[in-house]
Amino acid sequence: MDLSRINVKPRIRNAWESIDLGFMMAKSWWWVLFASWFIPAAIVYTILTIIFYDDNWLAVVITWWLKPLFDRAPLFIASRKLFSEDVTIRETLKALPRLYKTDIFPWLLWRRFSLTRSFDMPITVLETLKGKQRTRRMMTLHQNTSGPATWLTIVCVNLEMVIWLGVLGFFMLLLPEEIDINLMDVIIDEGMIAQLISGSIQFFAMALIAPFYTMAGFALYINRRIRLEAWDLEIRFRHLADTQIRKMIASSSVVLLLVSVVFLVIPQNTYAGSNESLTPEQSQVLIKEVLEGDDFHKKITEKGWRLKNISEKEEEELEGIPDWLISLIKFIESIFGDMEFDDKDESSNNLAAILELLLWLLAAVVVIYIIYWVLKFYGVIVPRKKAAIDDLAPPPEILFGLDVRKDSIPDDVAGEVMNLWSKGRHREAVGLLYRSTLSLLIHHFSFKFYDGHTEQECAGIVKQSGNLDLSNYVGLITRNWQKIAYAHQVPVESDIQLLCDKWKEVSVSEK
Amino acid sequence: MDQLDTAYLVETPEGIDLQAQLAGPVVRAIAYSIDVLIRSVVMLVVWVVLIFAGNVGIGIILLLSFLLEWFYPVLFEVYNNGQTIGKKYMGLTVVNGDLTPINWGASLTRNLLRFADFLPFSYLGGLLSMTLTKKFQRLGDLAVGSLVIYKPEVRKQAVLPECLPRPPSIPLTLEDQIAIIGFTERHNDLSYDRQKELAHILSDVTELDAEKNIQYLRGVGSWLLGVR
Repeated sequence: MDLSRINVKPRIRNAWESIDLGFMMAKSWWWVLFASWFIPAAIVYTILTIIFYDDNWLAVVITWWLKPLFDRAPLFIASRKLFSEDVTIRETLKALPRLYKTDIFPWLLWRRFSLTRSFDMPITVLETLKGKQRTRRMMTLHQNTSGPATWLTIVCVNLEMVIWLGVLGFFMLLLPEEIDINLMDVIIDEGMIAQLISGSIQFFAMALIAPFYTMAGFALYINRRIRLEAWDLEIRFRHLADTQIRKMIASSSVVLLLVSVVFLVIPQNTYAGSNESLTPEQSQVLIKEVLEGDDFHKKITEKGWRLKNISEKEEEELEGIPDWLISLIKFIESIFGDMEFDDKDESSNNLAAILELLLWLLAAVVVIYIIYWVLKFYGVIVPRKKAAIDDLAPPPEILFGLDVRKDSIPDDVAGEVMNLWSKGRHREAVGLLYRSTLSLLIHHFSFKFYDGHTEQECAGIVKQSGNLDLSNYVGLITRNWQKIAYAHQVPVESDIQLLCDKWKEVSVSEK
Repeated sequence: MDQLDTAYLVETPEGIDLQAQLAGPVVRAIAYSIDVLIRSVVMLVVWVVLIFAGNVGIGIILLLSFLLEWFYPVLFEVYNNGQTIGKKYMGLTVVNGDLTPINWGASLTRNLLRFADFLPFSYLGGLLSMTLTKKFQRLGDLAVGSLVIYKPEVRKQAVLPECLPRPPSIPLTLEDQIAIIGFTERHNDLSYDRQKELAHILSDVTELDAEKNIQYLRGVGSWLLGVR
């Protein structure tokens, strides 16, 4: 076991990641692994099929039962491949009897239904441990990995089922409608041919899944060992030790070389001893060499579907095509030109881009419609006909919580106000006066106030109208109202007196 | 030497290498099963409640099952950091090809294309595609270039052994520093004998015997981690 030749990145993974790594191993060593499982298993399955030619399901079940044996060959290959040793199929087949022999009965009897089979198998096949030793070793390895190992088995069982039913279903899809066969009929059919087809598909499903299953289990096992034995550290430490020792040797040899140079050719060029100083000519050569090396000549081939550039085509070819079509295509092209694809070599990206575009367009239409609908609902956007009516909209009935309807105002405002004032009900007095003023402004002077206006804004609107007397009056009453309403300061009596005196004058004045 | 690994690297325009661990078919199948289970339970509850509401109830059931089937993954992926409940449980997350969070368009497309992955039976297409592509992508992922990766775990600060922090006596490469820090941090996980073996490898460099070497390497590891 030469760790420095390890073929997977030695780092600590969680169990799920190592299962994925196992799948990668199965993929990259696929053909050997597959053949090493398939050849013996196919021989057994064929013989069994011939023996039980009437009951193919028996052949399938027995082959399935023997899986713990078949799984060992891929494991053997992987254990060599992991450290970059090449194994041929022939060598593997020769080793089969030895591999199958270890613990054959436990694996075919009570361990056959072990849910962590592929994870435990390396202990039998690679470490060839038995009995108590094996149990102790398993306890060490199983910590926090037996869960994922179990799930691996469950998922792989399901994958076999999915492949079996999927392939059967796929053929069903291809049959013309005239042939009336039900999938369930084929599965439970007792006819020989149907059984043979169904059984063989099941066998192929097993053969396809087996390399992945064994490799995932193997990767789980390797991951445990990397963690327990710190392979990653060992590799780095060995590397560090190697480089250090090499440096020591190198520096001592440089010293030796220098010494000899000093002794032999004292008067001559002392540069000769060290290879770090080069003449400009030598450097030139070296630079040229580096520049011509592979690092500066990377070639990348990109394949994929792109829209053709129409503008580069001959103009004659475009005759007969309407202009609008050309501009439409150019427009689409410009859109796609701007799009960034994550992965240029996937031809499916164009389809995705079109789909994405369509979905975005749909979304945009929906959003615009919703915005329009909402605005219309709240009257922000209003059809033109209604805009004219807006001027005739009824005046507000309530401003800042004050009732400003015309008929809520007493006839003799000034008298009422002074009456309230003299009774000490200052707040009500000023309130009534202010309310009456607002009502007067709305109904008599036809000012347009809205719900959103504040007292100060109302006063401002009056001021803008240019009626100096009126705006002075409104300014005064507004100030007093704000004082008592918000600051709870009772206004000076003379102010109120003045306002009441002026009320008559204002309320009958010209607009 | 090209070592097998499930890592996926992205270089940002600033020249920073981002690394993610791709998630394969097994863990994704389990995450998916969890989601199916959750959806089924929700639908069962809805069914029990609404089945008494007559035709209207059945209509609502159908509508809800449609929405749940198609938008459960999309909404979770967009609003929950690319994680449905099943993915969260398994520690997975969906990202764009450049490792940015998944957006509406990509999530919608990859989930709408589930019907392609489903063919011909029970996601056989998706499983095949996941197994055969380099980055474990199903067809929906291929269409938008999205990936399913392991969400990086927040690493807890390891308990460091008691030792005298010491600066390294020779210049160390980054990998060597990481290895020595690993040696220090994993002092509880590795058996003492194994630690002796590992330390022995470096005894030519440090010129110490194995026992002292363990202490020395732990000291260097602590020093590298900033203990003074």
